[in-house]
Amino acid sequence: MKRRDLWIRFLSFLAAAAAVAGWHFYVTLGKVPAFILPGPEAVARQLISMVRDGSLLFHMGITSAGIVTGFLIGSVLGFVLGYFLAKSRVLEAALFPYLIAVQATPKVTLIPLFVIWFGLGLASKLLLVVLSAFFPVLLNTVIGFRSVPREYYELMRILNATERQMLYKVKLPLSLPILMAGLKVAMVQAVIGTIVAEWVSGKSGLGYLLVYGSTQFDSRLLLAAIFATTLVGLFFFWIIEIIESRALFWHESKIILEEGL
Amino acid sequence: MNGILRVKNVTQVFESGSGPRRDRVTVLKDIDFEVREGEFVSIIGPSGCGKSTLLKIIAGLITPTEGSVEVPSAAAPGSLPIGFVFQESVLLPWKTALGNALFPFEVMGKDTKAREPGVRDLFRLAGLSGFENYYPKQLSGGMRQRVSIVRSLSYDPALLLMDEPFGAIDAITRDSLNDILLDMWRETKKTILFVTHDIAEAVYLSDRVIVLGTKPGRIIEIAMVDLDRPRNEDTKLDPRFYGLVKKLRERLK
Repeated sequence: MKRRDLWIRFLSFLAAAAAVAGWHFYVTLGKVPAFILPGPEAVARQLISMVRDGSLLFHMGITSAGIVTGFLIGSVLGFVLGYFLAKSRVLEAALFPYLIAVQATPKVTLIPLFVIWFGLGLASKLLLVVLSAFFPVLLNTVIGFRSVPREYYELMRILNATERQMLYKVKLPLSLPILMAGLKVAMVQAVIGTIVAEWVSGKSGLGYLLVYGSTQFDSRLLLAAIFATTLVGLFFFWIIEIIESRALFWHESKIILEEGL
Repeated sequence: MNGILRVKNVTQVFESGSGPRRDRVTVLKDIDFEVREGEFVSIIGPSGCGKSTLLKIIAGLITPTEGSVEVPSAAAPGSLPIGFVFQESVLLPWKTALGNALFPFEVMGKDTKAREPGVRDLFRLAGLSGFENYYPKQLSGGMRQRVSIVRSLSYDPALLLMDEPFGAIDAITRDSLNDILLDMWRETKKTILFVTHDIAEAVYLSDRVIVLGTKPGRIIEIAMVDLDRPRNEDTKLDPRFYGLVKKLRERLK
C-alpha cells in the first residue's frame, strides 16, 4: 500500500513536469511570440515580481475577501430558508420547481442588471456572490432534510425529544453529507461569481487583473493571474474538504476511500 | 385477565385525497385485545393488514380514529413507557454501538456515564461484548439490529414494541437472533409485542399469536402457543409446533 502511494505521487509529479516541459519546448522550438504565449519561466518571473511588489497578494486578498463574505452570507441565508422550506411540504412542493429553475440559471447573467441597479461598486459584486452561494445551499438543505428517513422522526418522538434535539442530534448530522456537497458547489460558484463580478465592475482583484491583462495584451500577466485564481479556488475548496472529512468521518464515502486504496 | 396493555376497539381510517373524491380506507377495524405483564405476544398477518399501523397507534405515533389504547406507565420515574424496534436499525452512524445504546439518556438529559454499566450488561446479553466501540458501518445487519434492541431496552421501558425487526435479515441469522431475543426477554422480563409476517417465527417466540385478516385489518384468531420453554431447535420438531404453524397458515389463506 505504501509503495503504491509513492508510485501514485511519482506519476502525478511526472505528469505535471511533462506538461511544463511540453509547454517550454513548444514555446522555444516553435518560436511562439511572447505576447501570444510566454514560456513557463517568464510566467514564473512575472509571479515572483508580483509577489515581491505585493500586488499579487493584494489582488488575491481582495478576491478572497469577496469569496468568503459572499459565501458565508449566501450559505447561512440558504440554510435558514432551506430549513423552513423543508418543514412545510406544501410550501416546498409549490416553490421547489422555481428553485430548480433559478438554480439552473447561471447567476452571472444577472450582473449587467445589478450594474444598472447598484452601480459598479461592491454591492453588485457581493450580491452576485451571495446569490451564487445561496441557491446550492438552499437546494441541498431542503433535499438533505427531506432525505432523513421517517423512522428517525418516530424514534425521536418515542424518546420524547424536542424539536431542537431533533434538529441538532439527528437531522443536521444525518443530512450533513448532502449539506457538505451543497457547500462545495456553493464554494465553486462563489469563486466564479467573484471573478466575474470583478471582470465587470472591479477596480481590483484577480478578475480585474485578468481584464487588465487582456486589454494590455499582457499574456504573462494573464497567465500569472490565472495561476493565482486557480490557487485561490483550490485553497477554498480544500478548506471545505477538510471540514467535510472531519465532520463526516463516519460516512460511507470516506470509509470506502480509506479501505479501497 | 390482568392486562398491562389494553387495546380497546381500535378502528383506523385513513383518508387520501381531498374534496368530494376523497377515499376513505378502513385500515383497522375493532381491534380489541390485552397483553399481560411479561407476556410475549406476536401479531401476524399479510402485508397491508395494518399490523405496523396498529403498533404505531400503541406507540402513540398515530392517534386512532376510534377506540383507545392504555399503555403501562414508565417503569421508573423519569423513564419512558415504550421501547420501539424498527425493521431497520435506525442507528446514528456517527455514534459507536455504545453511544447509540446510550442515546436515549442523552435525549432525556440524563448522565450517560452512570448508565453505562447497565447498558454494557445488555450488550453482554445480546452477545455483543467487545463490539461496544464499533461504528454501525463496521457491524453486520444482524449485529446492528441487536444494538437497536439494546437501545430500546436501555431505559427499561414497560413495553417493548417490535415492528418486523428481523424482516430484512437472512434466515440463518434470523434463527440465532430469535434465540438471543428469547434470552433477553427471559433475563429482562419485558412485555413484548412483536409484529412479523413469518408464521413460524411468531409461533417459536410467542405465548400467544394474534392473527390479523386483511381488508379491513381485524383480528381473525388469537392462538395460545402451548410449547415448553426455554425453546430451542427441538421445539421446531415438536408436532405441536408445526401443527400450530400449519393451522395458522390455513387460517391466513
